[in-house]
Amino acid sequence: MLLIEVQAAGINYADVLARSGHYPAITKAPFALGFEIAGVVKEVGKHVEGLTVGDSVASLTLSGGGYASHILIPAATAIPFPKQLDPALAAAVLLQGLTAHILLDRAQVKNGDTVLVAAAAGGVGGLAVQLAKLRGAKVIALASESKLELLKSLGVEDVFDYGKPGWAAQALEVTRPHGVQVFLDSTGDLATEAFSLLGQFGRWIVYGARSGKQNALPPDALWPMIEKNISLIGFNLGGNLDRVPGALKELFKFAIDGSVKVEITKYPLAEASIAHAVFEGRKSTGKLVLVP
Amino acid sequence: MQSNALKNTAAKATWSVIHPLTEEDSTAVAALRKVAAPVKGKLKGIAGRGPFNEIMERVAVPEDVTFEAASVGGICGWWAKLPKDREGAAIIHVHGGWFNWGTAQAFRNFAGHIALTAGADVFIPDYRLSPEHPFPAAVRDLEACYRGLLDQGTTRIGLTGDSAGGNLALLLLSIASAQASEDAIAPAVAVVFSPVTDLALTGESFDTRAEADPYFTKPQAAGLIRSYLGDTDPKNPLASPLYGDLTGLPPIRVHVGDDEVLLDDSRRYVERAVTAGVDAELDVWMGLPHGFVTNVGGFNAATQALRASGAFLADRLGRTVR
Repeated sequence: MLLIEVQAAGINYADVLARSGHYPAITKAPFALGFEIAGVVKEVGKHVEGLTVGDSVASLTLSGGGYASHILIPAATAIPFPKQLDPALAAAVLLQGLTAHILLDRAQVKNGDTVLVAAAAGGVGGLAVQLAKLRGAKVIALASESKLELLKSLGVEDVFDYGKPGWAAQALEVTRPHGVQVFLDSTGDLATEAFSLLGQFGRWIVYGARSGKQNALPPDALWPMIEKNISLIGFNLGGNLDRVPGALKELFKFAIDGSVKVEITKYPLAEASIAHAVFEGRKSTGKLVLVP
Repeated sequence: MQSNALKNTAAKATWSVIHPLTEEDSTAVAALRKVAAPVKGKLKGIAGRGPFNEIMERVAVPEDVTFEAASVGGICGWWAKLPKDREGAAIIHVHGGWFNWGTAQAFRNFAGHIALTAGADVFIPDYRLSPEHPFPAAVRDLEACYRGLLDQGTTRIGLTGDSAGGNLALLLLSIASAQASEDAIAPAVAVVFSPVTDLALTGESFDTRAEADPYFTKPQAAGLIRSYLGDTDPKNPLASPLYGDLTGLPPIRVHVGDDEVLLDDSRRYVERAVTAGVDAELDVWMGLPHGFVTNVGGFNAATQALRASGAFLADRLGRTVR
């Protein structure tokens, strides 16, 4: 185990749900929120190798406890990051950055691909857009119209409002002739219009489901899937933890050299409830981070 | 965006769906809180009737719905009728108002939206209210109304209710299901919105959501319930559906806002129903207050909840009964 002095704790929607009592595994107060942290090693337990006091490490604290000045974590979950990286930035790219990065790995995004990103202005979406661009992909985005400027600044070629039925017909114009090679889908609506955009060997990777928007795959999607060699892939970060060290190394590098930009707003740890109110009120853009 | 990693370690209850708050609804709720703040906890007794009805009458008028005054089983009320009705099927909507307030007329528009989304005519009975007619007058009226519908030849009946109406709808569901026979068909389905399932007010959310609820406080609820129950034990299964035997009930869907003192009334009821083997599910709408579903056109969540419950009702009412 390691004793970490927490320098930054990221806020995620999971914190809101746990706090509201919607995670049966975390039902009784008191419990501590916070599922991603960055900080400094204060004490090193017996038999721990490769880490020393003073090292900067980040960790996915899946049992919670990140909203604290200090936390005990298993050494195996500690990932070192360079000193020149702001801990808040390190925390900000953890859960969402890892999801985005490993999603792109699983979807085998490569130079020249066209990638369609759902909820592109959100946490994972925004990072996925930037990482896809860094891999040489062309990115088109699904987001509300108000996010157009923000997304264009990230290098998105076109933004479509998925709330407007028929948006895919417009998108077809810009994705001809090869269509979309990868669709990063956080909505889980298998009847989505986006299906019509997928090109040969397209990978449709679903990593979340917006409750209330789930629909079954329509029967008439089957033959196009067969004809176009399309893959429908489910993705969960939890099953891909072996890829975390390599992915994080690259994420930290991008964060330091500015290739990936994350807008961060810091709140004192003591103001966590205020930060939650801002987060829940959907008034924030970018990542919220608590600083003890 | 929910953490996928966390789904492994902390699986949510499979019978509940959590809906995140949308940006638009967040703005709408903030505005509503400003309006509600001065009167929070203050509506009491008969004095509450006027203001409550006024609020309900402001519900958007549904298109293509006709309203007809009628009496079903000897209970007066209003029908919200569709141009082309689903023969043999109907819904009874039990209106809310903490057993002390509300009229069928005030709830017509809301019932009309239920009719539209469910594809069936809806009858709203004017059950007797407290303090003039305490428990169990309301329950008896609803039993009579249900029997009246059966006598009219309706074979597929759905029950819906909001708030205290949800309490009564779930009670009627239990009673009618228990009495089911060849001549008295059980209801096919029930959907309730923010039901009051526990008149003993033991839900933790009376504390955990005390600040978040823009309208109600525990003492206020206790007063209104006292005027309804009198000396009756609130844990009497005929008063609080939470304490009944829920085995054998037809499919049920419950919708509730997360910012409600009544949140745990919904959660515990669905949990018990599921444990009893009932096809029951709960939709929790984060950031939304009590009664959000009646704000048709004002909240995205209202439209979504009505659509989802409508589809569910339509599906169950479309099936033929034995």
